[in-house]
Amino acid sequence: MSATCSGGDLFILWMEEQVDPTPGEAESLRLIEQAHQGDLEAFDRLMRLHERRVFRTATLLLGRPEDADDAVQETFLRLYRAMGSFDASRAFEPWLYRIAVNVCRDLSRRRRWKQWLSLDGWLTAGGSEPATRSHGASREAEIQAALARLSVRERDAVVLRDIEGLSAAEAARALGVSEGTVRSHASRGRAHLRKLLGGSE
Amino acid sequence: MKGDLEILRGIAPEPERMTAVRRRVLDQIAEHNGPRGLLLLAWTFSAVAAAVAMMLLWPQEKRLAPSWIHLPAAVEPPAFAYELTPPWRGLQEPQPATARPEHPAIEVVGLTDNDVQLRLASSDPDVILYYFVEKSGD
Repeated sequence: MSATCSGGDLFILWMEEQVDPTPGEAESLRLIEQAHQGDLEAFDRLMRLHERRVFRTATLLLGRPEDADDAVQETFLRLYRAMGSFDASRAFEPWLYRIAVNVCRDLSRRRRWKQWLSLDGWLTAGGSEPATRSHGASREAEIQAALARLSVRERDAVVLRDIEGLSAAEAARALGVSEGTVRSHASRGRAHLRKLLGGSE
Repeated sequence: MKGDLEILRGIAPEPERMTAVRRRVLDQIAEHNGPRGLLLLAWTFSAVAAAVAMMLLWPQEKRLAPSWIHLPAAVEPPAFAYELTPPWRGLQEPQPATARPEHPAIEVVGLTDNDVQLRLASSDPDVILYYFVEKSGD
């Protein structure tokens, strides 16, 4: 039992170290201010600065790169519309992630509804999930398939905390829940992932 | 597991696809901003026009030039009770009342060494009159 705990702790520690360099917060704030004043070039630069993270998050939350493009587009559109309400005294990234997470949830809901309405979609729904693509021997697809099997809450928490490298507070803000809840969901998600990918640890 | 998750961190969009996404976003913003700008201008113009129209049409408070009347030397509360012929009916000279009228709309709003300012309201709620009366006998 103690060995498991220590392994889990090491896993978490490692995760917290492996964080992508955060695009300059100050740069983002400057660009968002310029964009808010109507400078579309600044908004274009802001999108370039964050598109990779938004795309990656959307791909992992939705499970399909095809949907991720739509999610990125919708996220940036919502970001543009909501710029006026952005509180510059708070961090930009959790706010952006919150928009992205909400967009992904909306798209997911819409996708499920479409599949439910369409017999064809219903029958082929499983085929487009990463779970079946993992057949293709791609380890990345396997991990994505495992992520797709987590509950939405676990997946959101694991993706934001462990893959996007947000702190518990930032992830909590992005997901609109308390820090304790994020920690708990992330922890359960990790355990679930380890189980699903059994033997790779 | 380490290597596995590193793979996920490597997920990146194809540059061309992201270029297309950004272009679509900027197109939509431009599309949205055009009509919105015009709409905002039209809305501002209508709001200003409505405000000016309201200012012009709003019933104006009717004020008359101060009228000087003499109060008795002893300025006792009943002394304020003047029957004032409504000045809007020809600006007649106010006459002292024989008794304090039951007019609730007369009130003292200012009292200086020499002047007493009375505020009088007519039966017409839109008409408010201010009278300055001079204390006599000082």
